[in-house]
Amino acid sequence: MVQITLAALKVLGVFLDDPGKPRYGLELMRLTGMKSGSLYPILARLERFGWLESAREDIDPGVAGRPARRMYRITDDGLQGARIERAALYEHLRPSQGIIPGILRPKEHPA
Amino acid sequence: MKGTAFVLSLIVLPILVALIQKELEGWLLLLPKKVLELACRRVPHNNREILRDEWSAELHEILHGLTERPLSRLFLGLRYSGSLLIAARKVSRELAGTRSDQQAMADETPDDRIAAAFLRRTAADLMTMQISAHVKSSGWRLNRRNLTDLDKVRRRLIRQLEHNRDFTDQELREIVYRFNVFGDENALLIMQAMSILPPHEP
Repeated sequence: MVQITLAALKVLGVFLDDPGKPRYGLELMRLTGMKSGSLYPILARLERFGWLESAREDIDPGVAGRPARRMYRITDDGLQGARIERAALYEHLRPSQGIIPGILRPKEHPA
Repeated sequence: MKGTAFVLSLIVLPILVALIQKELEGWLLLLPKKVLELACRRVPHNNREILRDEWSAELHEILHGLTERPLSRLFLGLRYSGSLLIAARKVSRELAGTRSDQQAMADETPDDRIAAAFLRRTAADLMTMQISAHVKSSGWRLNRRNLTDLDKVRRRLIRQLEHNRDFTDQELREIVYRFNVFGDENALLIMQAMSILPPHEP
């Protein structure tokens, strides 16, 4: 069972925005505003449970002028799971009908 | 005499200052790399090379691509590598096998485990295995000096293969054929000795 924290959902949210697009760590740090020390444990966990898969970028470092990055891609399981988790979060955050009934208006005081 | 001093202060001094600035910048930018290396040493051996590859590539972008200002680069680089140094143990825990993974591993045959371990290996591990096999078969005595030499050879080979750590199936087959890893009766012992596989109880 994957333990999905808000931070993990934030990372998954980036993948959900464009599921086919591979992402790398620094890009995810920029998009989520997370520090490297927070991001990589999440990526490792999601990869361990098969929600993400990673592969070394297929470039020639000599031509590209930089080392190859490790690119992460969301799997079908991850896509399905992330959508369910995000829906569950929205449901959890939605105002309950029992707490705020109808339209809010100032309390009427007897004259 | 005064003229010479004037020429010196006008031409030589600025050049010297610029050179010292460059030198200091070079040394300062080594700091994040050293901190990253410390972080890498805190993760398990079997994941170290992969993580080092990944983290180094990103640190390279921070130090050479994000900004021109050297102090900003130093700050961003140190923040990146320092944060990883703190979180390295957490990454290790996340990468470590779950109980179910360990159970699944216990159910595998030794051959399955060798094959799986072999496929997970990076060039650095394969090279170390190959050199270890060579050391064992040639009857070298393993002492401090030999180990240092071994480490030097290993580092050189790693540098040569720095940009080719993920092998294709074809390359793996070629390595198996050329290095005869599976044919080496000591392969299992070598892998166990190097913590690639846990000790096998028949």
